[in-house]
Amino acid sequence: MNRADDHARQDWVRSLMREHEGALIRYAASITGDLEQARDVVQDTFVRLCAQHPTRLQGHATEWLFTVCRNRALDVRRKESRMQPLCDNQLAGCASADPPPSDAAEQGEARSQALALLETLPDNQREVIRLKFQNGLSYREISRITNLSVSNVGVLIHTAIKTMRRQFQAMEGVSHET
Amino acid sequence: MKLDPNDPRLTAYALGELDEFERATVEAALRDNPELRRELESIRRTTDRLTTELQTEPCPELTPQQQRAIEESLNELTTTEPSFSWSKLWWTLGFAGAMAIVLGSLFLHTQKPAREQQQTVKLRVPNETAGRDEPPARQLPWDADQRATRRVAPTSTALTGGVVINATSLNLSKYIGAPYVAISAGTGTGATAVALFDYISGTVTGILVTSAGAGYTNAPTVTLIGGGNTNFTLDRSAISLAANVSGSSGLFKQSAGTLMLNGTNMINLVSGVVTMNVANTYTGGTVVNGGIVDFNSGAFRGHGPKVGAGLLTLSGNNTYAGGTRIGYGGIAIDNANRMGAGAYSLGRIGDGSNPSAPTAGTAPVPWQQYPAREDALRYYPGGESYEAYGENPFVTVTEQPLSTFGLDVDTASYANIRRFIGERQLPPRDAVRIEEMLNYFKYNYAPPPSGQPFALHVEMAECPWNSAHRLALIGLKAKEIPAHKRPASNLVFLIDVSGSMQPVNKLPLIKRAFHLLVGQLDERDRVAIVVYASNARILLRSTNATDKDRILAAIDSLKADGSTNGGEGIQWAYEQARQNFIVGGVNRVILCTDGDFNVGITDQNSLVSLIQQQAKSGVFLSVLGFGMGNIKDSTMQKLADKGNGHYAYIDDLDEARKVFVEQLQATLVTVAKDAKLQVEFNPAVAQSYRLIGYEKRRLRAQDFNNDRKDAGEVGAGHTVTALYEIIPASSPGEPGVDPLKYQPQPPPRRGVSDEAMTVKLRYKEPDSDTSKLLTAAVKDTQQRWNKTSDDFRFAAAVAEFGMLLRGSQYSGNANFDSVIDLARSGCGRDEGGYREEFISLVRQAQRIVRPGAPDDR
Repeated sequence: MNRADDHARQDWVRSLMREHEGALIRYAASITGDLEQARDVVQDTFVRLCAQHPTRLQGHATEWLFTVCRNRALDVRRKESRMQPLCDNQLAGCASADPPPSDAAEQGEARSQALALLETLPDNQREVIRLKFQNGLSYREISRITNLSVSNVGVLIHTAIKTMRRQFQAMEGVSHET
Repeated sequence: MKLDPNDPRLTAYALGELDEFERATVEAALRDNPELRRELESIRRTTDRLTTELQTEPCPELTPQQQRAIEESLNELTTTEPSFSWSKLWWTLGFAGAMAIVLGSLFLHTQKPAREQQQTVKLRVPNETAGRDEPPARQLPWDADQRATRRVAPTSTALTGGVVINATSLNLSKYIGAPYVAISAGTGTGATAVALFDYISGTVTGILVTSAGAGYTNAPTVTLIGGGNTNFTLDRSAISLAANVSGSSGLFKQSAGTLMLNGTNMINLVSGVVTMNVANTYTGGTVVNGGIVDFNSGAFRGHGPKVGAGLLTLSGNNTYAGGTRIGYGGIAIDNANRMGAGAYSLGRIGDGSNPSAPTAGTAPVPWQQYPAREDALRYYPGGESYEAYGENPFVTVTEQPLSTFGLDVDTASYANIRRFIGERQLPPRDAVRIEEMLNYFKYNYAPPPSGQPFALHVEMAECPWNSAHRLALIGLKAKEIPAHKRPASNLVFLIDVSGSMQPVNKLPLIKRAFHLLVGQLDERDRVAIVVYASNARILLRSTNATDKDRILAAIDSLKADGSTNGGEGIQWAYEQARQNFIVGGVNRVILCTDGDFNVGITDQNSLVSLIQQQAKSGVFLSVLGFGMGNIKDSTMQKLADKGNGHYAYIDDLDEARKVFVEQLQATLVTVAKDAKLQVEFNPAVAQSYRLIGYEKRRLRAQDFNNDRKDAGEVGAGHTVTALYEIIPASSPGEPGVDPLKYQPQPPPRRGVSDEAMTVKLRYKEPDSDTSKLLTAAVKDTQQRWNKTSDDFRFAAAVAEFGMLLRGSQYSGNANFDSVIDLARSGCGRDEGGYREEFISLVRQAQRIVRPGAPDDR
């Protein structure tokens, strides 16, 4: 293994970082509920990436990153939850002591309705919706990342979409057919 | 076919997540059910909205400290993975190569002013363990409580040596070294295993069975001892170290290497499914009693290692009764006994068109297809990938009166098919894109009057492969630009010079093609060359085309070496193009590659979005594919698509001449972009229709008037041809749809009742963002066959051939002989001899399918 080879590998890691750093932190924060922890998780993820080899991950780098990130984030959350016992549903709905990742209130931006509605979904639906629509992953990739079956993923997404659709309609006061 | 509105497949369909079979099911249900269609629309509105709004959530960044920590890991660690494709090639890099690397890293730094420069000071936690690198200091929530002895069932069953039990779900963490794996109890002896340990996270990620031992009739006890943690016993019931695999838990092969099953009776499958998602080699037999050996979609996409990739060879006899379902890809067999008896199908279970099973023979037969008709088993050479777009079905006019698609003048598929057949193989089904085959040829449609960019030519006659149907040809001709009037060109060639480009039909061919091109350019034009291998460099800055000596010297100096980092090279190429932008001229980056993108921006999507961004600056991209094997066809298509260019495949010097000399104008000068066609059919004349080809260019009806929708690009002098197969209203055809009881049926407008269809074309001038519309109404004049044009007959022949190669279920009475007859009758003047070449190609294909078919007709 010579220097030139390492350079290429380093470039690969750096370019993956450029691409995915933000999206991964955003995703991790949705699991941990805490931005600083999310940053730690993503740092760990990229450090682990340094030990990977590009050809081994060829074509699956994004999936690998999200899987590793998710596992780390869940580990962290599990530890935290032992200190503050909250069940999954409560975690989904309650406001954490730390400011939410998007920090919309301070920036004075109106948070999109979709983002607001997303927080009201159960944990598992919210996660696959994020993976699909925020991060553009396919059902297959999502199933591998979350260890759910592909049909399970499909059902979760379908149910979440139905719920959100009804809520959009309710918020806008327009009744669409059926 | 009924589908409940609550069926999650509806959402999956809206998101493009269904495979071909399921998609057809859903589409069939949609045809019959307006309520379902409304539901689908509502789902689509919601998903569109989610996609847009969710992306607005901001993405935070890592702190500078964290970024530094990662940089350090990057610098400290070297991987232990052997690099099979790189190691030897690297040592042959000379000074130029070393300079390129230095330049490459300098470039990397200057590109990112926002990040801090790398620091060489290492922040280390002082550690006394001699000879071991410590991971960089960072926060790990160590928790002493976690070290419990947990009993959790592992997810897989051990087998003969070399198989890894995936232990990540067991969460075996907090180790400082690999524990010892002790195997005890059980009735057998000799089983051994080692733990696979990841020292960065401190977890045991797997257990590698190094020897299965013998004589185990019940599961032994497997304990992890030491390694800095308390002992941990794996749950007994899930591990079986028997010589045969049995049990109801899954077999999980973790690593990317080859799974070898040597010996008889290796799989005794009583029920359920064995799914092979990567290529495998069997040298022994396989017994399956009941159940199915399912070669699922992952099996033969060619993502495996280069040797023998994508191919399952059954070289021994196999017996099974459950049938074989090949979702995608194929099997190579040389003898009917290699494959079990019973029904087998090519991904279309239950549609009644399954070919009959091969019968057991005694004498070996040469590799050929089963069954005898042209519905073949195919096999992929190494490393290729093709997207499966499926096939357009017949749709009824009353349900879907509008057919909309983007105009496509890519031609790569035809050249690629020619390559396969030249090697005595049939191409994979998804490498056959009929629209690209049609558009490879030159048609003699009348050119538009001056001032108009397009002329439309429509012809209808009897359908050759189904006499009850009609065939409609829609031909578009873009205006020619005489050579002296052609706009000035600013061309940047981005050439892949990695090691894989060495063979004579790649880099050497590019060099010769270049000579041809440079001969066509003059003082109006500029040429630049950027090359990329492991790093990118500007070989020749943009130079006036009169300086031919310098340009040719640069191109002749190229050697193929190194791995492939396409990402940076593309950026530099666009920079060269932008710096030398010619207003009102042709500004284009021409990417020449075999499609092998190994390092750099490996993710197709990020490469694509880069190209898209750059295309907005007015510099278009064309992609030229070279060589065989390792063709990432779908990647190259997408790049050309998003770059507002097109994709051609160059397999020899003749093809190079075609692209660079004969069709130079069309290759370079875009006459219209985002060109789309929408056809409205008249239910009084047509009952149903089928668009042949253009599956990858399908658009929704509302996309036609949406100028933001990216569609096809048309070059000067290009022709675009599309064919519709139409079931006339008066024919029995499919079972008709009942007239609607509650919907008002407005009578058709006066004077249009005998029009068959209206063809609408939308396009944009190359530097405009608003589209223009052309319309033409078409009557079916019941033209007699002997009055049809050569082009019509030849195009029909090409389409028929394409359907045969795809094993299309719509091919009716298609067969090779009729293709040849049809093509002969449509040969016409045949400038360039391309039509004659087509005929000989069809004959070669026929001989592959039926060895011993007569040579001359």
